[in-house]
Amino acid sequence: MVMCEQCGKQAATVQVTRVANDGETVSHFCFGCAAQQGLTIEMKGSSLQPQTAQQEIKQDLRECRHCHLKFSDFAVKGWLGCPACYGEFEKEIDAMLLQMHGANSHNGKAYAEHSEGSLGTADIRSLSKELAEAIIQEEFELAALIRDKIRQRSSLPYSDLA
Amino acid sequence: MPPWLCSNGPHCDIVISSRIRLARNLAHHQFPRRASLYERTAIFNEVAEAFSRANLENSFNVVNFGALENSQREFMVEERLASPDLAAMDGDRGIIHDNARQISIMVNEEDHIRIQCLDSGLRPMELWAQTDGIDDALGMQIDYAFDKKLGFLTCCPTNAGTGLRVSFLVHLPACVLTRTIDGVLCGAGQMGVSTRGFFGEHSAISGSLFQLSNSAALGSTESAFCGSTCAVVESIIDHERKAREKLLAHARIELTDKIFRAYGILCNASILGLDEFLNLTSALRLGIECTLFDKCTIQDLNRLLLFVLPAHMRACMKKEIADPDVREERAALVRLFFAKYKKQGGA
Repeated sequence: MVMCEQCGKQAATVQVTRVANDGETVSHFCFGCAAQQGLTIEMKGSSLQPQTAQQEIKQDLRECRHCHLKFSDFAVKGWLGCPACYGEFEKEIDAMLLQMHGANSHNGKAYAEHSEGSLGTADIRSLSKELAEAIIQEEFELAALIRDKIRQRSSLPYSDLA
Repeated sequence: MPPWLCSNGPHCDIVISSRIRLARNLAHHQFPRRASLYERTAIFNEVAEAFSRANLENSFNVVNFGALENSQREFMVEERLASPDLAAMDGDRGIIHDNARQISIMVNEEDHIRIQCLDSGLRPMELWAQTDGIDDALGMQIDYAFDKKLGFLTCCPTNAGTGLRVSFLVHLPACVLTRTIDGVLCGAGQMGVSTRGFFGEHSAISGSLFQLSNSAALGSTESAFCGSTCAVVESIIDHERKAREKLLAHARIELTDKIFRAYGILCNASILGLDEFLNLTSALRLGIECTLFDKCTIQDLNRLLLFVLPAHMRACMKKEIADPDVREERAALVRLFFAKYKKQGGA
C-alpha cells in the first residue's frame, strides 16, 4: 500500500502528475493532504467514505521561460506571450495549427533577419535587441540610454512619440 | 471620403470594399498584451522609426492613440483606419496612415504591426501587391518574428504562417430576401471562407452586409489564399445577381413596395437606430442597383453610412449628445439629407 508522501500516516488515494518545464513528477497523497494543497478532488465512491476512492489529477505547470506565460493561461485565453512561446509549447501548438489551418507548415513568403541591414541599420538592429532585453530585465535606466542612442541614429524626428 | 467607400471598383454593386491585412511582430519583444506599458512605448517608437527609415513613396502620418480623446479614436475606428481593439487598449499604440486613408499600419494592437490596405470593389491582388511592398520595405528595417517551419509568428496561432487576412465587405440583399443566404454562407464556410457582420468580430448581421474572409492563414502562399477567397466571393456574387434577377422577374411590385416604404421611413422618422438605418438603406441600395429607385446615388448612401456613425455624428454636431446611439440626431440628419436631395431634383 502506498502511503501519503505528506503525512506518512494515511493510505495515498490521490495520484498527482505535475508537468513542469523540467519534466514530469508523480506524487501520492491521502484525501486530506490533497485537499489541504488546494487540489480539486472529486467526491467519488461512497458518500460515507469519499476519501477511499482512487483519483488521478494532472497539473500542467509549464510556462514560457522567456515571458513566463503559463501554458494553462494560453489554453484558456488562446493568445501567446512572445515569439518564443511557439517553441516552448511546440507540441500543443502544432496540433492546434493543424486543426485551425489544416496545415502546420509555412509555404508563403520567406523572410530572413538582416544581420548587415541596408541603409546602415546593423547598429540600430543590435541596439533594438539590447533595448528589448533591458526592458524585459526591467533595467530601465539602461533601456533609456539605449533608446536615446537609437534615436540619434534614426533619420527623422517624431515629435509625437512618447 | 475614404477610398473604400468610393464605389468605383470592380463589382462595386455587390462588393463594397476589399481589404488585405498582414500581421507582423518584432522578434525581440513580448506581444502587446503581455508587454508592460514601458515595453509598448519602446515597440511603438521602434516601429515608427523603422517606418521612417523605410522611405516609402506616400506621405504618412503617425498617430499615437495614447494622446487622443476617446471620440477621436472612435472616429478613426469608424473610418476603418483602426480596430475597436486598438482603441480599447492602453499605453502607446496607434496607427501610421497615408493621407488618402487607403493604407493604415496599426501598432500595438493584438500584434505589434498590422499592415492593412483597403479599397473599393473586388481587387484583392492589387491590394496584396501594395501590402506586400510595404511589408518588404518595413521588413528590411526591422527584425520580424519568423520561423522557417511556422512562418510569421503572431500573438494568436489563428494568424500564424502568412499572417494574412483577405476580406471583402459584400451586400447580399437578394440572397437574404430569397432566403438562400444560409446556404450561400454555409457553402462559403466549407470552402474556407468565414462570415462576420459589418462591425467585424462578434457583430450581428445588419443591412444584408457581410464581411467574408479566409479562415486559414497557414499552408498556402499568400497569392493562393487571395485567389481562393476571391474565387468563393465571385461565386457568391453570381448567386446574388441571379437572386436579383429572380426578384425582378417574379416579385417586382413587392420589391418596389419594400424600397419605397424604406424611403418613406428614412424621410420621416424621428428616431433611427443604426441597425434600422442599415436595413432601410439596404433596400434603397438594392433599388438603385436594380434601377427601381433614383432618389439618390450609391455614393450618397456611402457618404451617409459614414456620417451617421456615432463619432462622426458627434464631430458634426459639435455638442454633447446623451444617447450613445445618437438615434434622434441620426434621424434628423437623414431627413435633412433626403429633403435637400428632393429640393435639388433628385438623381
